[in-house]
Amino acid sequence: MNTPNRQDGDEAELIERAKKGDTRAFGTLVERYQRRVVGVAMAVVHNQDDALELAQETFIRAFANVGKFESRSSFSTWLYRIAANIAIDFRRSERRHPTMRGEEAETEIQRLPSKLGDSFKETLRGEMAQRIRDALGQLTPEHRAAILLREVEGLSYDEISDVLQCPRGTVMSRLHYARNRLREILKDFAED
Amino acid sequence: MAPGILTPGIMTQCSEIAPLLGVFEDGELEPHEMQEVARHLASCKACEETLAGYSTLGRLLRDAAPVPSLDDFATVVQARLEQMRPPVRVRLGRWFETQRERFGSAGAMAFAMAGAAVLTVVITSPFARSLTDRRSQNAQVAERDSRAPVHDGTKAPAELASSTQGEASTIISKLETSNPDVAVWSEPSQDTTVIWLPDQQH
Repeated sequence: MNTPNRQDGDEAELIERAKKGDTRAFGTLVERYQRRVVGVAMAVVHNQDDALELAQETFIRAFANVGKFESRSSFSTWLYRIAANIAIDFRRSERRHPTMRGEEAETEIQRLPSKLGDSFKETLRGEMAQRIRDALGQLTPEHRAAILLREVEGLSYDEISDVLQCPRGTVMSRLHYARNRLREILKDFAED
Repeated sequence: MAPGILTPGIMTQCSEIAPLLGVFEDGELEPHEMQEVARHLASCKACEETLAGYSTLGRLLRDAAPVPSLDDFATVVQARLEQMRPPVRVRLGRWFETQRERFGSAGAMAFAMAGAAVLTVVITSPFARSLTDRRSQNAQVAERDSRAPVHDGTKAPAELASSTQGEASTIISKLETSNPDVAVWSEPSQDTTVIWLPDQQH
């Protein structure tokens, strides 16, 4: 998945209009980045409902502060950083266990796009998704956020470094550890 | 571990390559390191398998990622944005814009100039001047008081008298005694004679 890089004239104009209080213009930016912002929040809090709520807060806070946004960095990275900060603060305040609750995991497995009608494969897919979630739950929040931002959200190392506010070298070592740990836990799946 | 640790052209070991395989998979290595890792992979089955494992892992993670429903997400955010009170800067800008649309640029300018004129009149009005003068007088008195020596009861009357000369309320034209315990002075212009005695409690 490629990182959207839309710091073009259209986006610059939308940002300028948003700075003047144009909520419709900002709404276009919301539609453009909603999925990715939810993904960033999800990578940190590992809970879909919380991630959706935090993504809303991200956009509200971003609109309130869009006047401070300077075009030196990309708008998307600025947005993801807000999302990550809000999610990290939330995680600290909630002190929640990072693993997904069983009932919720079931619901989410059912939401996975189904390409196969075969019930055996369907079951296998659900089982696999559950095992992957369990495996992710065994990582620290930092390692999990790094691997999900890279593999699921497709952020570059520089973007992850910016979003999680850690050096690029730390991003690399977290990814290296997370990959090896997950491969170890999911040995039988990853080698299929 | 950072990009740039491999020396071009030197045969690399698995232990050196292993930490870079994920970075290679992500395409985040320096060009010469990409070449070096690719060269190693061509001849190393174990590292090739590790790389394939990383690739499979990435696919599994993407497949298992929940897909949240965003059907009404933008609508809900939009509704919340509409309820937000815009910042003062934006509101002021909008007001001027409205005036400009209503009365044209000249009208908006006239509004601004009228506002400035009203402000000038208020500032230069007699009332404002009297306020300013009063503040100025108070400031002068405060400054004079702060410079005047504090009488702590130890000074001689003659000394006290001389130190208070010049104040509007205590113009002393003539001291009529040399006794340090008693001061007698007269004000010819007001036909007044003042006798000062020390505090009897001491």
